[in-house]
Amino acid sequence: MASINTNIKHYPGFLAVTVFCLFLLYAPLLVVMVYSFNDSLSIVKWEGFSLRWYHDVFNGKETAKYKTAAWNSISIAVMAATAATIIATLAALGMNRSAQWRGKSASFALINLPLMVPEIVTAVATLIFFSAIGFKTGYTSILIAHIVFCIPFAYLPISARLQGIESSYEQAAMDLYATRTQAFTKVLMPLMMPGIISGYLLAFIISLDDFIITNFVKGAGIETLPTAIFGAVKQGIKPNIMAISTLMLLVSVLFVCISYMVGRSGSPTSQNSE
Amino acid sequence: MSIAVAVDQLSKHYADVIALNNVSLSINDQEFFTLLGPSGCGKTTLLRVIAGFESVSSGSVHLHGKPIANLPANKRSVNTVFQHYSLFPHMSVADNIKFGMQMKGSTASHIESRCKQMLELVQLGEFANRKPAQLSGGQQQRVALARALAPEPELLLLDEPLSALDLKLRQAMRLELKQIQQETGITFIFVTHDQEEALTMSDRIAVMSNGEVQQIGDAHTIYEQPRNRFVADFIGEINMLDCEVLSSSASTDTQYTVACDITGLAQLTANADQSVTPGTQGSLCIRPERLQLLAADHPDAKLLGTVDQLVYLGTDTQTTVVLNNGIKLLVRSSNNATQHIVAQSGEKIGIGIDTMAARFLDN
Repeated sequence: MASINTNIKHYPGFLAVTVFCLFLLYAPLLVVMVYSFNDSLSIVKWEGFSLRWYHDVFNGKETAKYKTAAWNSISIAVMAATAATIIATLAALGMNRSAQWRGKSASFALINLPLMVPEIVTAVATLIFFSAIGFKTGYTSILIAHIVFCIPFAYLPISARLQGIESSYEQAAMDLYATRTQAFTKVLMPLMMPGIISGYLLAFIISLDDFIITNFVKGAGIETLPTAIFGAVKQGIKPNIMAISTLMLLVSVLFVCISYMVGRSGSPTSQNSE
Repeated sequence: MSIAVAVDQLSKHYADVIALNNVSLSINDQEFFTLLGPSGCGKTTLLRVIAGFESVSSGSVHLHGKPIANLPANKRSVNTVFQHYSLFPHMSVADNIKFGMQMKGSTASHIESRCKQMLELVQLGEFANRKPAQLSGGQQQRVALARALAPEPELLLLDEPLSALDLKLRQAMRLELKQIQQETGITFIFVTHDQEEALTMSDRIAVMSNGEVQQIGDAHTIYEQPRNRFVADFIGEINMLDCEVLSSSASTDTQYTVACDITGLAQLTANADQSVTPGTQGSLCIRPERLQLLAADHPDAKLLGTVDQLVYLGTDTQTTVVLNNGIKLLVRSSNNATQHIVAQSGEKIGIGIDTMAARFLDN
C-alpha cells in the first residue's frame, strides 16, 4: 500500500472537517424540510407530523397568489432556458468550429462575463437599461433578462461537450455524401445532445430560482415564486413557505440529477480511447 | 489500363509552410497505391486534398477525367477510412455502414442488401446491431472499411488505418486489406509512414518528403533502385560509402555502369540511372544483405575491415564491420547458409560485394 500516505482520508481531522462542512451546508435545508411537515403554526416547535401546510399551499387562501407566481416562474424558466440554449448552442458552434477570427477570445470573455459580474450590478444595469429605452417592466422584461443571464450557464456544458467531439466526425459524415446541414443534424447534434440537455436544465434551474435580477426588473403587479416567497417572508415566516421551499428544492434536485445522468452517458470519444 | 486519379502540379501552402510542392502523379484504375513518407512529408495533406477536406493553392486533381479539386467532399465519389475510424458512436454498426448510401439517396432495398454484403465482406455479420464502442479496435477498423466501401466509391482513401492496432492484428489486416482491394476492384490510396506496410501491400509506392514526391515505383524498384539518397535511406537499411566517379559507360539503354573510387580503400563499380561525369562526388550505396563476409585473404574480398559487433536476428545475423578508414558497414548474412563465416568480434575480415546491386547516387 504505497499510496496510503497520499490518500486524503488519512489526514488527521479530515472526517471531522468533512462532517462539519456538510452539516453547515445541509442542516438548514434539512430543518426547512422537516418543519414543512410540522403540525403547528410555530416554525421552531415540533408538534407532530402533518401534511396540513402542503394542503394549505394547494388549497389555502394564498393558493391563487402562489399558483400565479409558480406559473410565471415555470413559463419564464421554460422559455428563457429554450432561448438561452439555442443561443448558447450557436455560440458554442461559432467558438469551437471556426478558424481563429478577430475578437474570438474577446467573444469568449463576453459570453462568460455574466458569471463573473456581481448579480446586483447586472440587476441595476438591466433596470436602468429598460427604463432608458422606455421598456415597460413586467413579464416580458423578466423573460428578456432571464434569457440573457442564462446564456453563459447553458453555454458552459454545451461548449465542454462540443470540445470533446473531434471534427473528424463531421468530416466523415460529409465524406459520406452528407450536406453540411445533414452532418449537423445527423451526426454533430446527436453527439452534442447530452451537453445541450445539461445546458438546458442548468439554465432552467438558474432561471427558476433567480431572485435579485427578477426583483429589480419585474415592476409592480407581477411575482415569480422567489419574489412571492420573499414578499411573504417579510411579513413573518409561515410554515407554508417551508412547504413551498421544499417543493422547489425537490424540483431543483430532480433537474440536477437528470442533468448529471445525461452528462455522464455516452461520451463521444470513448471509442477512441488510446 | 485507364487512369483513376491524376494529380497535376499540385501545391498547397499554409500561412508560411509549404505542405505540397508541385506534386504530380497518376494512379491507375484498381491500383493499390501507397503514399509513404515520414511525418510532415505531405502525404496526409495530399490525401485530404483528394478527399476534399483541404483546398488546393494551385494545380489540379482529376478523378476518372473529371476535375474534382474544387468540389466539396460530399460531391466526390471518394470515401475515406480515417486514422481513428471516426465511426458515429450514436449509431449501430449497420447504421454506420448505411449512412453513406442513405445520404446518397440509394433505394432502401439496395441499402439493406449492400449493408448485409459489406458486413459479410468484413466478417462482422453478427455485430450489426452493436454500437462501435462495444467492438475491439480491429473490428472497428473493419466497420470503418465497410462504411467507406458501401457507397461503392470510385476511389478509397486510407489514412494510416492500421496504426492504432497491435502488431499481430496489423500484419493480419495488411493481407486482408489487400485481399478486399482485389475482391472489390476499387482503387485504393493508402497513407503510411511504415515502410513494411507499404512494401507488403502496394502495387506502387510514392515516397514523399518535404512536400515533394521523391520516387514512384513498385516495391522492388523502390528498394533496389532508389533514385536518391532520401529514398535509399528511408526504405530499409543501406550502407553509403563516399566516393568519386572515375568513369561511366552505358550498360543497357537505361542503365549505366560507374567506376568509383572509395577514397583510399578500393575501386568498385556500381549502377546508375544516367551517365555521370568523372570527378563527381557521391555515394556508393549497397544494402547490407548484398554484402558478404569472407576470409581476409579471400580473392573476392573487395574491402577489408575489423568485426565490431554481431547481432543475432533469428533469420539473419547482422555484423558491423569497421573499415580501415574508420567507416562502419552493416553486413547481413542469412543464418541458413552452410558455408557462412562465423565471425568473432575483433577479427580481421574481408567483405565481398555484389556489384550488380551497388548503386551510385550523387549528393
